[in-house]
Amino acid sequence: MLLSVKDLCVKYVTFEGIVHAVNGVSFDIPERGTLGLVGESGAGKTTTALSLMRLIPVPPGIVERGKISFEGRDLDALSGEEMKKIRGNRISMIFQDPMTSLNPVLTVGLQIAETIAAHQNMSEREAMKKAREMLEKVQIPAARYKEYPHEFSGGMRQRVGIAMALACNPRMIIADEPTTALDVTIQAQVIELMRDLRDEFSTAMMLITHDLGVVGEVCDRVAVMYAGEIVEEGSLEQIFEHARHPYTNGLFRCIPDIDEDNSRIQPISGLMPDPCDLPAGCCFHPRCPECMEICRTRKPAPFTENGQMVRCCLYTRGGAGQ
Amino acid sequence: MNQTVNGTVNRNERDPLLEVRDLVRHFKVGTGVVHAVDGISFSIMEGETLGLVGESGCGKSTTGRVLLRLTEATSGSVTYRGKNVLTLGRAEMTAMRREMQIIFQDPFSSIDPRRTVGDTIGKPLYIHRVGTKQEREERVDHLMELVGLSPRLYNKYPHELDGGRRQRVGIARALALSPGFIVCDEPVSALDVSIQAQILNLLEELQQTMKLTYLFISHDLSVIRHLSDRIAVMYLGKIVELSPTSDFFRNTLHPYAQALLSAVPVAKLHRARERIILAGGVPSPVNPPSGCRFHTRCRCKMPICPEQEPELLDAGGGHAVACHRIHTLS
Repeated sequence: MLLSVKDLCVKYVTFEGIVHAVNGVSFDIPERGTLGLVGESGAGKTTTALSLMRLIPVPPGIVERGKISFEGRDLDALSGEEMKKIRGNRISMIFQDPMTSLNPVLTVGLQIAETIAAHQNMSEREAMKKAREMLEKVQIPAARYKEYPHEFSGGMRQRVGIAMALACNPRMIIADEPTTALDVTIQAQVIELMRDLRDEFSTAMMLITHDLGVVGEVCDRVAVMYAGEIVEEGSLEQIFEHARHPYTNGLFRCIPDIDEDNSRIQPISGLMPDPCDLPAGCCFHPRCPECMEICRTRKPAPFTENGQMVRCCLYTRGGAGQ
Repeated sequence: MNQTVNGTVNRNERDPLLEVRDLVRHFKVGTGVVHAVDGISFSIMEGETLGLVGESGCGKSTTGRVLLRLTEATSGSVTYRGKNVLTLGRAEMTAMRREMQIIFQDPFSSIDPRRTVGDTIGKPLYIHRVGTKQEREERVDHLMELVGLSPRLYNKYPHELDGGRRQRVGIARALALSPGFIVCDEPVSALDVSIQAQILNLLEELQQTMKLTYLFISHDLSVIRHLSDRIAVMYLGKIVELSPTSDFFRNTLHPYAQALLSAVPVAKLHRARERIILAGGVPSPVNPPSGCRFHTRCRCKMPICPEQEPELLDAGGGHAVACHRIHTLS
């Protein structure tokens, strides 16, 4: 396994209380695999990603427990210096908003070259040359090397972000809502580019998004997060066509069908729970249409069948998953 | 205000409630003139929802704002129940605002953070001097119930509410004066999908019970299909296609609209479709391309396209398209 995360728990200590952002998340990503991490705001997707990169601000954040191994190495055991060699080099990240993730006072070429020079044993000239090549790879004319981020459109800025992420030929890319800030026709361009480059560089990917449509375009496995937990995980087909968790099913029923007139939508009632005060038992039970008595008190154990994991008492009730 | 008769609404499909003719809104900027809205015409029937769709910068929000004179038009006319809204005097316009309201995209910035929920919803009633203080409070209670806000939120401040509830406050405020027409400017774009579905259903229910007419602005084609009776697609300040919704999705005519529709990622497997990826980005609205504005990115471009601007013409059954290939489009 390229990346393996076991029982990750992250909390933030704030004046309002302790925010339980990630509560026991486990998943694996194989070489060349693409995992989609799906969920609504506050589900803990970004916190999960940042803790893989060891980018959680401490304080207020506390990584309580969890074991992250990457390429067979235990990332928690690494020193800060050793982690720097992995970050941006072996694992890199694409952020949501390319306007704030790029430095506005440096040319885009320099920013890409900087990443390369920091990690690869290259002269400045070689790094510059490589940066130009990377720009061409993301379909930006190398001649625009000396331009600043504000001279680019939103879609092009995100391509610069992709070029920077791929510059050191990483084994894995974490893309955090990479197309959310883009218009739909530009999103289609960027998704196609990401898919092509992922295949060309044979990079594994973790794609964080709230958009199930984007997941369907890019991922081969899907993990659905709710209130800091992965409530269901499976192949794209399992999640899209045979979802088991009431929350996953609820998400699909919330989306109007673009292929039908007068499609019905069925909202999930209620709101996301307060992460400072999570409900007892199954965290989804206050909103669940199939809530049973046991759901209020017992936390469902993961139940796995044919590689599809679900955390729901509907499946563990008969003791099948224990 | 309860205009419902046995829960059904008599829609008068023939009278346009609102008629927009050759509407133009230009903005002067340092480098020239932004052609935000550049001569668009459409009408909205009573009880209808017209969906206005397009990408950032195409002029859809400006259109919505010009209709309510939140920004003044450069030229053109907007007729609401026979009156030209754009030429009304100050007092008449104030009266007109009781009829025409707006729900904004971002419930975080469109509500005064220093005002309580009850105050915010009651403010339009106060401004228009409706009823006594007690009557206004009763009306606010009623409105809160109507949009699904618990009465205990009356004295809460916006920062104590989540996005979905804030958007309900925005909706209640828009409904306070019992308007006939509401511009919904991306009302669900800032919300999570489970909350988005709640608000969409609420907007539909309210339309039924209060006989509302909507101009529904959105970039999300699945939301537009769900809610709209007709749909207008904008590109660089122009309407390129205007059609009954079901017809539009069955038979999309304009090459831009086709590309837009094909680019939507859909959460389904095994969905047969042709994906059209447009080259480049949207040109600057300061110097829009000559002739057809889409010709720089169009895959069906002909020699005439950069020369002459195509008119929005009916291609049959009320399905209008602005494209020189109108006769060969199918």
